[in-house]
Amino acid sequence: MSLGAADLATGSPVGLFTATLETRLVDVNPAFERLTGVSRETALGQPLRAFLTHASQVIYALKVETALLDRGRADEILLELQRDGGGLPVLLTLVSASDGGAVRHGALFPAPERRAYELELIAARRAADEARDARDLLLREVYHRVKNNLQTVDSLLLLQKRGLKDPDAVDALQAMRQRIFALGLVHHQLMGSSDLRSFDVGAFLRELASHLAAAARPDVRIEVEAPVLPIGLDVAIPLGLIVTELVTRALRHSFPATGGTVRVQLTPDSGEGATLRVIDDGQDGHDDAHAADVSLGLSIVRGLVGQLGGRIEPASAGTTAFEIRLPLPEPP
Amino acid sequence: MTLHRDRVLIVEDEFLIGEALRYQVEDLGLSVCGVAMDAEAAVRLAVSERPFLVLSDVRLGAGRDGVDAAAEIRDTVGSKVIFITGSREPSTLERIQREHPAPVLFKPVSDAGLRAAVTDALKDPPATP
Repeated sequence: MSLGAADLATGSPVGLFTATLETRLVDVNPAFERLTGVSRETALGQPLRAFLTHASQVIYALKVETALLDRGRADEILLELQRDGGGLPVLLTLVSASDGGAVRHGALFPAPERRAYELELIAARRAADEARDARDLLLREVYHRVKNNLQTVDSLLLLQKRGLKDPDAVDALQAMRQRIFALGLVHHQLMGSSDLRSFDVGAFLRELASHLAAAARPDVRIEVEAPVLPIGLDVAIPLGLIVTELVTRALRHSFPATGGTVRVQLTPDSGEGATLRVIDDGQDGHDDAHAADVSLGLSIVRGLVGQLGGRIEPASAGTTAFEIRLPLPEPP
Repeated sequence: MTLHRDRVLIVEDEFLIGEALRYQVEDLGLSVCGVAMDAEAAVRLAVSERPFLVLSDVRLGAGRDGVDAAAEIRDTVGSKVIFITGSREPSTLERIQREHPAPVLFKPVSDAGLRAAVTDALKDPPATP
């Protein structure tokens, strides 16, 4: 026994309808009547959208009508039928007649589960957004406070320095201020970064260099060559301090009488690493008066290079040029 | 009434930071007519001392902030303003540009950075209130 098309439509659990090009109903099956709660006689001649909730009429205009215009069909659009006591979620698929006639065929699938699932997804996404916003706000506040504390430390050093007459002591406090600045700059970069976790190493080194240059003789330039590369806090703090020590050392010892250039180069290599070079074209005029601070500076550099898992190239030992191999892991 | 060209008002709610800034300004050969710790004190000092330049923190604890104070000082006294902030929040920076366009220095303020900004501010005549 074979069933005819009419039997299929009558027994279908899916609401089926045919409509004009303006989507006015021409015929509906019993499932359509059950879903909408409207009899066939009342439904015929009405536009489909008349059976939708207010909100779904807007979605219908935005999604269904646009899809019909663009592609001649609309698939699986989630809408709500207007029923007593609320909306009934359905999926609407609507196509033009395959023979090109002036008629559309449509189907309404009851979709209560899908609707609940979608609401859950929306709620979960909103909760995730709120959690992320709250975390970002907190992180920004923490960075702000760390920076402010560093500013307070810097202020204390400045106030202390003012009372001192011994030039070595003044120099030592000034060197401390440069190190504090490097730490503050890391937090400053983090506050301005979009993910609050990483920032561009090139921009960081250029800003650091311009700060260090401002304290140097006006005829000494600091040039930075560095790629656009994201780094995180764990790398930036030691790197900033290493560069501060090496540049400060070059500024202090290599240009006793004339100006020149200090070059800071960070060159990524094939692996997950880079080579940092700090080179100057001045004379190596080691000044023994600062021996204590120099040795502190160099022991800071050695220690931090070790902390980063890098090494100082042997060729650079004992010269004004420093070459350091550093692993640069992706920021977390 | 003219403004005092060598006079600077500092607006900073943290004592140590304010004092350090005072020394930095004095090292530039300028005099500091006061360190105000809130917006009301800032406006009061600006009106009585008529400084050419105001160095103002943005956050000032509770009450009106540095942007509010600066806007009022500009409108009543005509002093120039340089903002000093530890924050880099885009919303704060946008608000400064919208309500009171002025140079912004980020903390910690270096001697050289302060010198450059102050020298630049002293180049032009102050706004007429």
